[in-house]
Amino acid sequence: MIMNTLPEPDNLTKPFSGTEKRALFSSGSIVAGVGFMALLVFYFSGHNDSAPAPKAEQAAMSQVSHQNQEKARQKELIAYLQQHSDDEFAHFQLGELIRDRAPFQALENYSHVTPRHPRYFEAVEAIAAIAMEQDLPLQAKPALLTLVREYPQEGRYHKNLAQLLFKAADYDRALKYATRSIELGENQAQAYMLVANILRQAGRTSEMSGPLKQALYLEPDLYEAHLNLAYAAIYSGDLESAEREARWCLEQQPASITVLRYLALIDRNQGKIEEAVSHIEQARLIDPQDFECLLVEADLLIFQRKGLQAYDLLKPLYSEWKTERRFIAALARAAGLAGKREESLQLQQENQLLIKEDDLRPSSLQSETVEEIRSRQGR
Amino acid sequence: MINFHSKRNVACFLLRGWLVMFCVGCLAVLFCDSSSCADEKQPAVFFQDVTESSRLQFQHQSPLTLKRHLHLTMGSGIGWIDFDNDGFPDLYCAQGQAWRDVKRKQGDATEIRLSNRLFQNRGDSQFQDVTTQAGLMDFGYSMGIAVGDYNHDGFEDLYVSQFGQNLLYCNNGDGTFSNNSYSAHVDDPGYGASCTWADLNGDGLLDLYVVNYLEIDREHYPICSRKVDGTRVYFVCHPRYVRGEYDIVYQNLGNGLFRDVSKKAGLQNEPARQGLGVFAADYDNDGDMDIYVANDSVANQLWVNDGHGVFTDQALIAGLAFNRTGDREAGMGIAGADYNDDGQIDLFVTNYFGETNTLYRNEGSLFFLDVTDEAGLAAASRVRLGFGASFLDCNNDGWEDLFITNGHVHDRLTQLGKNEPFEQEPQVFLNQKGTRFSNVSARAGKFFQKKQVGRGCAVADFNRDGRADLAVSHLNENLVLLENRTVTTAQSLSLKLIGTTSNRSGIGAMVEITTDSRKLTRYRRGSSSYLSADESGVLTGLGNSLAPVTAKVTWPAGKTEIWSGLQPGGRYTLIEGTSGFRDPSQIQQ
Repeated sequence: MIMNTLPEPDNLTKPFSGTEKRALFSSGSIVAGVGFMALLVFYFSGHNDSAPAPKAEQAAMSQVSHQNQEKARQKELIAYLQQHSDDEFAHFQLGELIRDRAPFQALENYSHVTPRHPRYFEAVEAIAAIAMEQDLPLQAKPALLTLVREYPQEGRYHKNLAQLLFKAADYDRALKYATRSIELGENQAQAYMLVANILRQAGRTSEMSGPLKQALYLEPDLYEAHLNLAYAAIYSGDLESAEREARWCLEQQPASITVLRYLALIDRNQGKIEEAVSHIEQARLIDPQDFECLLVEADLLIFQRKGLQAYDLLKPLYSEWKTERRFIAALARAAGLAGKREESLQLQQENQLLIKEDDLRPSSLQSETVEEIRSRQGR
Repeated sequence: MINFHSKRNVACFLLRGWLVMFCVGCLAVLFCDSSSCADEKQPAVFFQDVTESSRLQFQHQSPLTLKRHLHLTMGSGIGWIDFDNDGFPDLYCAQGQAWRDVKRKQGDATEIRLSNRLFQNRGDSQFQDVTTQAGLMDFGYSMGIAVGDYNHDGFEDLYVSQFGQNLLYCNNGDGTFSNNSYSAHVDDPGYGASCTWADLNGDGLLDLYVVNYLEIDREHYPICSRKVDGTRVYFVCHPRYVRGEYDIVYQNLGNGLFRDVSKKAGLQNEPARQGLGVFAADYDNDGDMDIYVANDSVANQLWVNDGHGVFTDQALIAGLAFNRTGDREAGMGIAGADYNDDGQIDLFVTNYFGETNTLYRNEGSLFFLDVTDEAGLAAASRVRLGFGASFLDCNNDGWEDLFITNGHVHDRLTQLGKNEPFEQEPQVFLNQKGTRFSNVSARAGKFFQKKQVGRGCAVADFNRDGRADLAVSHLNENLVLLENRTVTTAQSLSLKLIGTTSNRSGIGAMVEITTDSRKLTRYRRGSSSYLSADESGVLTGLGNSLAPVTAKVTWPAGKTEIWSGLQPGGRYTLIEGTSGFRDPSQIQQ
């Protein structure tokens, strides 16, 4: 992360956290939970009557027995479906049975359930859950859209759809569903974090503060919210708040190179170049390979007209980072300052070649259509 | 009794205590008033909006269409021109034009409010509209302004770029102008943006550089839109959807005629770009004028002159094509000055919302470094869309400060789910002795609290009080005249440069002013900012220097002359080739 454009954010939040997905969708976990409860009941009820068998053995036996039952039922259903392939309920049941062991097959079975069937939306929900777990956005998106249409007041579907669209870089729509999910009561800090992250990726960093403050209202010690707030404040020029948030984060995680880098950026924006150098050196001691810190250090050297030092810092890493435009630009500047003008030009040309036509800043408005209006207004 | 006395003593003690505290409080208030709180009461920079009292009534006319035709959001420039040579700068304001009113407007020549306007400075801080008398009525969509004496008759002429055919107004010297656009062959019909006069081939005549923006065919106007919740929302097209148009170089032939030498000058050796801003100077110190062009969302260009008016783009090697992260930015306006007192011209480019404006520090040998963050200008500009920008010494401390006018191009972002304001506050930054800039907008006057859609800005000392004032143009809003009322004891020096061998306007001359403690480098610039032109000449603060100063002028033709004994607070006319036989009192205005 350097200079004018604040860089891509660190992945501070995990919108697709595995825990959350399982909690939301996995019937497997429910089955496991029920199984565990049954085991407990079995253990306590049979404790006095029989010789004390090892607990693990008993559990294993029970599990084997359960699996055998399921396998038998599965075989039975498969056999039945070979004869009655259009029985939607059988497909649904099979899907339910195998979704944990064979999610892709379960997906296939659920997809046989049509809107006419009373269990259709359960099947769609299962499809959405499996598709999200298995990272199949093409299957997850239509399923979630169906659920959002059918249950417009159900916040979790909006939230999941927002996460999916966020991952697909469809930020405008992601933001719409994420905001709606909050309106529908998904009022946890993580929902606000999702909104903040969408805004950040959409290049709307200046709007992040609102949701981040909401997240902190709900969870005052949420580290990622503090860290993101520091970032947003640096971006929008509120350096006082940025420093306050960054220092809070540093107290929690004294070895955080991200926080140290933010502090270096704050210093630099305040014109405290020596302090900035000190912070970035601390960060580089913790992780000498960190790319963002490397860029900031090089940039500080360049500003101090230590072109050769910056060049020596960057040049050995050229082959590793030669497709990263920020690196190339920094090396070009260092080379130019060190008097290596031809090399500087060559690097600038490389940078130019790396710029893609669609590589517009995120905040640019993209038009769906460009009409050419015929007019009689010529002069 | 003992108890009574005791109580009374306690009461007395308390009373005395309160009295002491009261006195201390009063003293503190007095002390605060007189010294330590003086800083709080006295803003570092202060500008008063005097538009109304100066009778400058100019409302920009560029009503936005339902389909958001692009050119209607780009605004128009302003230019200071002392057209009557009375020593007071007059103001020329470019006017917009409604998209559907072209024919009606042309047919109704009495509608002066729809025309470009010339306001004569009466010298008493009031202006008078002299557009009709001056013969300057025009109803096209005017954009950029360049002021310079192209025919060496001693009167400043005007060039106006348009969304349509450009205009050349020759100053007749009697208060009127002649429209010579067609006869002089400078009536390019493209989409002109900023333009500037500069002697590009070293023949002592002012040539013209016209930046063109986009190739827009009015018959097939590009319109952009997006569907939002089932409704089609139109918005201004991003320049990526419209081809750029080649810039133009007009060579002054010296007989009132010009020749389009753009191709020969090398401008068409690379694809056309979407240009908006221009700043001409000798960036490589080789004695000829180079051109820096700010392009919208593509790489900026630095056209380096070979001395004969043939250019090659060296922006990449000079570090001026992109910002420090290697990104192209949405270049709008350009300001140029030596902000850090190292004797070299630095450049400042205004950019889009979400980008920063960019300050390029001149390292010499045609190499620049983006030092925006370190100079304290990055964060303050990320949530602004900058257009006009001017370096001016607001408090006469001898350090070039910075004014920026902001305003978005999109007015429907809320509908499109974005929270970027259309109207934005302008900003003024105080130069901290060349190290960084501090944002002093909050206390610089009411104007800086008001959100408007700013476009052009131009500097002049219109009331001749020795402080740099500002005129600011706005999209579809009133022009604003800001009088500099910064309280300062520092003096300034005003120099009018007249070339003889060089171009008569002295555009491109470098002035080195030596005071008893410092050496200041100032530059006689052509057009700058966004679509605008400052008052001709050089106005600089001298800091605390009260002793006479020396001015060393390096003329565009290459000759260097020194004038000594110039008094702080004075206004002087320096004529090329006369430094040897004029004493300062003779050249004082």
